[in-house]
Amino acid sequence: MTAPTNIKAPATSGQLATFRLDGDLYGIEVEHVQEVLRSQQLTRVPLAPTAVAGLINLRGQVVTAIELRERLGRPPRAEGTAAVVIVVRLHGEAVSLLVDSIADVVDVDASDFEAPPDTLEGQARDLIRGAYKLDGQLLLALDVHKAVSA
Amino acid sequence: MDGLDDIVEEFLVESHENLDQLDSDLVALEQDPNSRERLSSIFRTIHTIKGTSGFLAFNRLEEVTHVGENMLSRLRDGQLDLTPARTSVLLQMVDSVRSLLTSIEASGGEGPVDVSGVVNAITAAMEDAPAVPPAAPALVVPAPRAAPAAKKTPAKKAAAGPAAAKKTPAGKATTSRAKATTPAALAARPVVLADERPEGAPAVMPESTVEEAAPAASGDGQTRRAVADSTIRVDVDLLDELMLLVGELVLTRNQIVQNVARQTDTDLIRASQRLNLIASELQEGVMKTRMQPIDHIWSKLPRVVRDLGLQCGKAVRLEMEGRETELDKTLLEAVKDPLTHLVRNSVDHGIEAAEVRKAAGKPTEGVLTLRAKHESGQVVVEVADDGAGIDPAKLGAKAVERGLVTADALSRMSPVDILQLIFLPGFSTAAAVTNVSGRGVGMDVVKTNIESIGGTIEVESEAGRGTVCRLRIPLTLAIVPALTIECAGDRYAIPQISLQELVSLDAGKAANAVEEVGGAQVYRLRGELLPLVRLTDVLGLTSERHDGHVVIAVLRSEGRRFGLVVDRVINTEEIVVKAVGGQMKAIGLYSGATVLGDGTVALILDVQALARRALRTETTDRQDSQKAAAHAAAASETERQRMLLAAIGGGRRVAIPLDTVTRLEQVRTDAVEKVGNREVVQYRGAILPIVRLDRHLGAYGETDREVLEVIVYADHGRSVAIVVEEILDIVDGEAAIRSDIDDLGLLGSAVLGDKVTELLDVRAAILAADPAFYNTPTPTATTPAGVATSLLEV
Repeated sequence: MTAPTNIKAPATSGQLATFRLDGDLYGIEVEHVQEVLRSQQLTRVPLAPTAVAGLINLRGQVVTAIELRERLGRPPRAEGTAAVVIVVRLHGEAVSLLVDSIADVVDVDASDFEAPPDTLEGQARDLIRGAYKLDGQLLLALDVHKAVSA
Repeated sequence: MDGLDDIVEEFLVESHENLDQLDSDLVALEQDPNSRERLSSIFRTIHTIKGTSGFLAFNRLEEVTHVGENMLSRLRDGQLDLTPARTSVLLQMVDSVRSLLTSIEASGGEGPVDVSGVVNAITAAMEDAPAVPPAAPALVVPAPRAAPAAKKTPAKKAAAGPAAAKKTPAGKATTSRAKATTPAALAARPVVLADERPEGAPAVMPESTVEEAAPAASGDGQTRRAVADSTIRVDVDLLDELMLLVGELVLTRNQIVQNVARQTDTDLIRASQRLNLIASELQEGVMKTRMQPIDHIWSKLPRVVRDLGLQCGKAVRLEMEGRETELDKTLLEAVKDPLTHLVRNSVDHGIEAAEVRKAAGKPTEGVLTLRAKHESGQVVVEVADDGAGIDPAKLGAKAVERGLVTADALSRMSPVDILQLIFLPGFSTAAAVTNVSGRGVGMDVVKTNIESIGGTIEVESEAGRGTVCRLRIPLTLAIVPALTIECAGDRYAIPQISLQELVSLDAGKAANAVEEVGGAQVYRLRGELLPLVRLTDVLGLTSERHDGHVVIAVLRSEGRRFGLVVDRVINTEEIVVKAVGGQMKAIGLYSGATVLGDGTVALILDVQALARRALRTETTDRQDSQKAAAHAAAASETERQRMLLAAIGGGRRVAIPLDTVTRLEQVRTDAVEKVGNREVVQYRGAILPIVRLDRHLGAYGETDREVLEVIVYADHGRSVAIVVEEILDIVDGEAAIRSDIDDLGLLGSAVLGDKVTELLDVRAAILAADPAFYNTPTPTATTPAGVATSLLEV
């Protein structure tokens, strides 16, 4: 499971679990997703990196929650809107991502894949493997390994 | 049973399991003679038994398994084909092994079980002999074995009495029956054997032995169950899982008990009490499954001590107390190396050579004592020797030489503090580096290891009498008693192991009791200055408590005490430690997280890390500045010192190097007494001479004050008290503008905190109070270097 360099990201076919974040559609490989939860009570962690939103209690297991808006350099979620928690399991460890809302599981085809545009800058460039050109919109493939290593 | 030591017992349990597997493997192999995998598995099993029996000096067992192994290896390598005859002899071998094991289990020895028949049979089968030869030995085999059963009895009687005597034949009965049944399973294939055997000796054996087995059943059954049947192997993962679940149960219990406490339903209350009890017992039971006596790691130490003693030419007797004390298996493993290191240290450095001991009037044989006991939910392990002890002076000198502390800082350390220096990295007291210890893997590693499992280590020593290293280890890593506190609206857990006491001050008291000197807050805890650390400051949060109450958790870390100021204390509860992700660990303040009774996640504070971070500013700043100062001129050193600012009346301010301040005290004026024309005060059972700084420096302060503010300076067991009007602040002397405008009793003046401040000649002030103060040994080490040199100019 070594993360490939993001420029030569393999265009893979398969299923992506998609979610919305600040108006965009993102996707992560469905096999990484353990479960999706409604908003959870977060315990903040003082002095943690800003992307660490806190800790959640997942049936007795303590799981770190990563604010994906922060990771992608997007503005904070509007006050009063609850985040959706996507629990992913990587190397046997559960980590959760806070997103705006969950969308469908989408079948993607490698032929629709394109590397991220050269104009994509900042933190997002490291985290986005590329885009799948779906009908009417783009599905951004998130490198989940990099996203959780806040 | 008593005669069996742990290794043999383990071997028996393991072998019995393996043999059962072997039986079915062999039979299965017949169905599928080409399964190399199965052959390899059988080979490994026999190989293991052979290896262990050789190690344990069970020669006949080794002989049988050796020849069996030979055959198996040839089968495995394809040099031989597995024929039914060969399978039979292999099964015979298994039976022989089993009967040997039975004998070992019953008597501790192999007994007179004859194995030559089986050995011959296997050898013959290997020589590619036809099916008949193995059949003949097969018939022969039970006969010699039936005879030994009889022969064994008198031998056993002599050894263990009639009860034991009955065991043996009974044991044989099981074996023989197993023998009879196993070939039966094979009946279809080795036609010759299957027909012959039941008619032979085995056919007779069961009958004769069944009668014997009946009376012996009780005693026999017990023995066997004690070893092979009463223990089962459980995957440690499963135990971990159970532990986890019990942890959850404990949390839920906590929650229910909390809620029920507010109810009035007596049935519910009773049920919750029962739940409380059962959960506790269950927790204890599950914890026990992971517990092992400390003897597991101690048992290797006598050898270590003996060898080391010989090597060092010292006579050392090892005594162990509390070897049955149990602790978690994981912890036991983690303690093993540190403990061995401590023991080696004691023998190598602690206990003196025989002639030295004789000269000191001690018995020539040194005594090293290991003690283990349970104490308030922890395991306390002590390594004590009656050796030379650690001389604080020597140790201190070494630390200075290594550049770990400055001579100046050393002079203000109590002997107990000095002892803790051995835990600094890069410290080894070995005068000469021996090949035993002193190779750089020192006490700091021991300390790190112990701390990594949530334990603590402390050392006590009395010169000439010996040294005691005391480890405090939590019973288990998974569930720890902790104090839950609140800070800025969040809850945190502090492991009880670091907690010493709690101090709660209401607003009125706090205003007086918490003294603020510069940025550093201190609290006088029974006369000692306790540095205060605000958790909100460490975590970069804002306190939600505005009523002026101060709650202090007095914590101990690495021999230092400090007070952690929190918003409020919630309660103490057992918490289940959950691992946190790498990002959290990297912060270095949290040792984990836990789920509290109400389902909220709370972070567990790592007290050691907290202390290092919060007290770092003080210690490293001081150490850094002192290191720099050592290279710089004396004058610049004075500049870098931190200064205590005090008013002495008449608007004058003096600065006193903080290094020379031991404690701040308040003394009632009416407690001041006179000795000749000197003022003294009784303080902690000693007479403390006083110098009033206002008079000493010719200022005119108020004289009718009820309480005197006193700066105590202590060194080498002598103390003086310097009376000032008011303690103002602590400042960093670095940025000060100095001038050499001075007066009697002063070293000069400087601008500190925007005001001209006089620099006190501490030495002169102390001499004014106690002219004999420096007439103690090694005066040069006691005087701050800067003060001493400047004094010559005055």
